Amino acid sequence: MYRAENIRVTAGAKVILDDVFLSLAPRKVVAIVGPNGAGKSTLLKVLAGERRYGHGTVTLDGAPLQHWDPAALARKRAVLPQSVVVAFPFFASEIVALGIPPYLARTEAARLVERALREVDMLSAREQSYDTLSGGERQRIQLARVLVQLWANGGQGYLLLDEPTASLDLPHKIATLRIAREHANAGGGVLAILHDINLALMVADELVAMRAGRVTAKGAPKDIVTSDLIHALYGVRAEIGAVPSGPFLLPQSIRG
Amino acid sequence: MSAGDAALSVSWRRSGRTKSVIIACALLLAAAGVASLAIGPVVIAPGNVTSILWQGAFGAQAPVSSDLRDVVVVLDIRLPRTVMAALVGATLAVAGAVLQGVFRNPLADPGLVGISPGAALAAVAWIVFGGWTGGYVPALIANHALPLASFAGSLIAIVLLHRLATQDGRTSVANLLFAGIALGALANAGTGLFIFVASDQQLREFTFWTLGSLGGATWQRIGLILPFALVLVGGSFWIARALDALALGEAEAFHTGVNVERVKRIAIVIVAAGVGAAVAVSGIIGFVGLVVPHLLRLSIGPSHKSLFLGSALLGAALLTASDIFARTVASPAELPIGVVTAFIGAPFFIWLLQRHKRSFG
Repeated sequence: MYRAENIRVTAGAKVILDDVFLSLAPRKVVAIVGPNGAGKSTLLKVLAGERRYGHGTVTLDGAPLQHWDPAALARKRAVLPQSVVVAFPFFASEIVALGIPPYLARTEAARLVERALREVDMLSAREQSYDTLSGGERQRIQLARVLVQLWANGGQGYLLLDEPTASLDLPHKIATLRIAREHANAGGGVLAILHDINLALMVADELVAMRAGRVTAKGAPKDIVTSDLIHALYGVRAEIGAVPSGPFLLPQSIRG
Repeated sequence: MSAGDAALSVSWRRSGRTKSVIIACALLLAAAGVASLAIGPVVIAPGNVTSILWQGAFGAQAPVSSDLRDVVVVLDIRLPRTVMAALVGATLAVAGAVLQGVFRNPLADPGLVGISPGAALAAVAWIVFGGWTGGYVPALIANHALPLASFAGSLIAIVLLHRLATQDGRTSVANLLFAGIALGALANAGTGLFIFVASDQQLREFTFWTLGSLGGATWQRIGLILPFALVLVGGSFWIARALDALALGEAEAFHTGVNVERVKRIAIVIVAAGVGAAVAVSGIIGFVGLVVPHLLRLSIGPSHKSLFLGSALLGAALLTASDIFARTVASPAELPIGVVTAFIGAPFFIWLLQRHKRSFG
């Protein structure tokens, strides 16, 4: 169980996060939505243990985050950043293997890497250099690395995903959300920053709407996503429809 | 550590190749070593060289009886120099590879970024001023004072470099090279100044410190640098896996469970130890740490565990071969070995810059 209470983060005089409460339980998918600069990524970094916060507490399974050493933390949570530039020409499969902890047996490691590559539909690119891949392919490889990190430690734990679908094509967006859902169903927890409200509605058990460093609304997506909320977040008016009118592509219906 | 193996075992294309490249590097080193013992003013047949070595190592009677002069030339004159060339070459190459891993930047070389000049400055400062400490320094430290001084010099240089070139955990090529050039120029100027004011007896010539030489090789000096070299090579294998993860970025490495600050501190200390010791006995020999890891990355990939092993072998082979060239090409005079490595390394460096013009900011 992740629990963040009363988090405040400042950078100089600027308040980046203020009065933020958030909890993330096993079996749940929580989506964070909000405009650019709302503090979503900062909140994710706070939960990852990467960003210091001036005020408030974050606990993971009851223990304050700063009491976790990096290796123990890595067994409980994995983090997918927005984009990762790799310094040297590693193969895609080698990048995925970086998620494997040092104590895992070689054969088991190779098995997990292959399974993860299959999961993100990148098995055929396993021996390509990471820096030759497209943005979306790189993101899928990073997702595989993050999955392997949790699988190697029992398959549960928390996935913190910063815009996991940003540069993906439609089928891979859906596939990524399916992976997140399956992870939650298997007993893990997922926190994902999503820009596409429709995708958030599809996957999330709970939606956290943020604006200007604060949580504007929180709850079950169908309860809180209203035309007023969209206006409060983004300053635009939009219809929220339950039954679409006219022809449309139903992303949820996409199969293989 | 086993994750390096995991990275290998997930890439079938690489695991076979890595093995053959490492074996090739080892054979190259053996060949360079035998050649270094055979070639000189007196040329000795390679077969004789190996039997003299066999005799020297096991005290057994050599299958081919060699004359005493050859035994003296091989075991007493050429062997210490060859061993030191190999040791310094391995140290510089591994130091370069570690430095590149920790700065996440393939252009870092201990000579280019000012670390070797820092070590040389401290070594020269010790030679000039060390006498003043008289009997106050404990014997154990006094005996190792020169490598310890240059270790301190290289440590200060790396810490300064890290401060100057890194912002928010990112080291850009431009910052690294600018800071390194400035540090190197400053250290070289300081070395020049000390040598200018020092008396002739205190110092061998300026070229030793700026362009390097393996001419002063003795078993005693080898014993002096060996512990430092072992610290570097042993330490590098210890942090190899963490450096692999660091290629993703500092935050990402932390996410996978790496204690980034600790790994960086270890890397800085072991590089300083290795470079300091190498400079103390052989002066500044540039480009080995740049060329060797890069050639290996092209053939076996960037995984640090095999990179360090390959770098140690290939660095040893390269410097041994360079030394053969340096001492024979203008015989009986000797070319400073740094001239030879610069002739190999500088064009390579320019080629690297051209190649990476677009990809590194």
